[in-house]
Amino acid sequence: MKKKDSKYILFMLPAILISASVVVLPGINTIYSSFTDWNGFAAKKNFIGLANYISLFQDKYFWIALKNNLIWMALFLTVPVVIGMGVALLLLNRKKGRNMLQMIMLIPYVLAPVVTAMIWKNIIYSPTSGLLQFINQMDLGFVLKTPLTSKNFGLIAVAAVDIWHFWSYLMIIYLASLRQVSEDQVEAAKLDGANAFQRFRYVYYPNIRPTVRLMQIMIVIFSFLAFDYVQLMTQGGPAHYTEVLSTLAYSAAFSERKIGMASSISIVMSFFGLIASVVYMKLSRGEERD
Amino acid sequence: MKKTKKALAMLMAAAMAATVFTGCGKEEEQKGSQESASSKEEGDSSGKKELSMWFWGASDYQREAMDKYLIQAFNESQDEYELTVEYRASVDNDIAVALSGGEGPDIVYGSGPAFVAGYAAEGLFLNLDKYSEQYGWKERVLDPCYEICTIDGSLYSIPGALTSTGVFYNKKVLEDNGWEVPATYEQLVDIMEQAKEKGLYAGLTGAKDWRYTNEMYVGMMLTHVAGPEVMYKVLTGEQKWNSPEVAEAMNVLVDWYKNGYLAGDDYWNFDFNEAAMMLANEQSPFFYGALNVFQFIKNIATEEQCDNIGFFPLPNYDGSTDHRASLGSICSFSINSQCKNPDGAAMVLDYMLTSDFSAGMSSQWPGYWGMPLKDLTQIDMEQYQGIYKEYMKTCTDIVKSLDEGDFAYGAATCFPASTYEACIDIDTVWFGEATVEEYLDNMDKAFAEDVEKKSVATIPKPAF
Repeated sequence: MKKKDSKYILFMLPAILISASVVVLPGINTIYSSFTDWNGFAAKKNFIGLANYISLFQDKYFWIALKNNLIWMALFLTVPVVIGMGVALLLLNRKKGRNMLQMIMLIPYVLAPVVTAMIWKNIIYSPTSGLLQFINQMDLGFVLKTPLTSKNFGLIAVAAVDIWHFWSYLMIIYLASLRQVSEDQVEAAKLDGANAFQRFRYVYYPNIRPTVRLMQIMIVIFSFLAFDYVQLMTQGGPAHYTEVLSTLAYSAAFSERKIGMASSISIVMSFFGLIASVVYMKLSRGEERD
Repeated sequence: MKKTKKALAMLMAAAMAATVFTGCGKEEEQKGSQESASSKEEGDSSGKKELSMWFWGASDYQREAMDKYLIQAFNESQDEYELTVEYRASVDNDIAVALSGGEGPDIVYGSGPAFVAGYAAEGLFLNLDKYSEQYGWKERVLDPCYEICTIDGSLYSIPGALTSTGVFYNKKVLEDNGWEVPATYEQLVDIMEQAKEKGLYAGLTGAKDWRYTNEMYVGMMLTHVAGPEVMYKVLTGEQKWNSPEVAEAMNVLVDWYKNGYLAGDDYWNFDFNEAAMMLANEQSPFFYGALNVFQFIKNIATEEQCDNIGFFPLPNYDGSTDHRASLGSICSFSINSQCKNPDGAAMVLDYMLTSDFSAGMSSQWPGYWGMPLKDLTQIDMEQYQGIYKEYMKTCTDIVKSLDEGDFAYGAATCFPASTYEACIDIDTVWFGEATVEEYLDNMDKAFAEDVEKKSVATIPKPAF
């Protein structure tokens, strides 16, 4: 290494130290804990090899949670993306009131999760005091029950709340990206007779593809970290219908005091995030080569 | 570039707006910490040694009671120590995190004796035998409540208030419908069926915000259907969870859920405040819950409505008429092994183990401070009215049951951590995702884990 370069290492040192202390060391500690029976407060961590992972893979609720995370991911890769992109395209050519509309649409995103969860739980989904009660009182010949306790719709009902909160964030990102597309290209397409769909397909989309892809990867990572709305609305229940990996890890850590087991669940969650990151890097490199 | 800047500005604006929405909570937090800080300063200036305790985020009237009957009363009772209480909404998790880092308050609030076992095994709580002897706690506390706080014969926590899951009832609903307070299990079920026919809820409760509510009904059925002898054997490893008596109790619970005795479809739609309001509003004759339901009723109902509320234990399934209780402690208090003033912390615990403290707290905050003391029955009941009187009367009834050994076990107090977590899964049986046998096999597996980890509390033996 040249002497000149070593100076730069010194400049980087604070950043490296901070990263090591808040990311790398806790990460290594979590990986190691996943091979132990640590309860979170014992002085000694007993190494138990793969026992936590074996026990985890034998636990039927782990597979339910993993399946639910995959469903969550599929929902988030489609519904908020379509809504966010659709609204962004509608706002793109609207000069008047666009900023105001963006602000209004962003309100769900800035609400604290606990507020959003309470609104939906008590005002929308409650058949005793909310919208469902109002519909039931109209005596339409059917009685609506809360979807939160349904085997088939419980998870979707919770995801819907998070989607309601999240889609406007995507819309803002997509709109910012769409507005950077060269007007010349759009005008040229118009002159060539391209309709709205063709302009999106052949002009806008290729230009914003890196942004869309980045958001997709972020969604995949976030999907395996989903926690707050599930915990606030159902705590993974009833009957584990809405269990996700993070609520499973939370129960293991704070109810059963199995930090070793909770760490192994966290490692599995991170594994999927890692796959998403690797895919993104590969795709990005491919694009750079193109 | 300009456009990107604009988008970033929008996001910044959104983030600023978010702080507006979350501002109230932060302000309260800051206020809380300021209060705490000012208390500490006062403590320093007066030369008193500081003692700290964390407690859950109590409401205003509850904090007033704590201030008056615990903090002020203790601080004025002696010149050496200054107690401060910090209210934290996530106290359970905060304590777990703090203790694991060798930190935490001097006096550790816990969710019950079962919570204590794991920490005590790691030396995070002080052995209280010395203080027990010094203050005579063993002579003052009800035997089973004292015993369940011991590990290998040594005391590591003192029990908080008595609790037992049973039946709250609305006197006016029973009277208006010509129903007597049920003395037998059959009479109770008969009234619930009639209530359903009349368009009332058979019984009320709710697990909307707290899935762990399930444990109350598991404990209630194990106490009144399986009974003390079976449950003693189960919790001491002499008998499997998956045994006919326990299975019968769980089958009764499944029938209860399916028959709508636990608020029907609205079990998952109500929280305890809402269910308490429905009981006060005469929409059901019964509410199934632990003694802390008294505080929910006080929170939500008018004084007149409160006067209509009574409590009785679930009648025994086998027809026996004894007044059985489930052994339960609403919380526990231990001394942190890092505490610099353990003698002072022990003085606070001793102060809490007095009928004066219990009587004072319960005069303002019913449902949470009926301490498990042998002399609780000596408290003058005439000083109480309405719901306060009903609560104290219920506590003295439970004291008698526990004193006579007529008890089984509450899940939150007596089940070790993994077993407790497994018992919550009764909803998998309710929803047809598991059979009672599978559920109990899982309980056996979890209990075996707890035994291996030595996290099972001492199980007091009932009289049988």
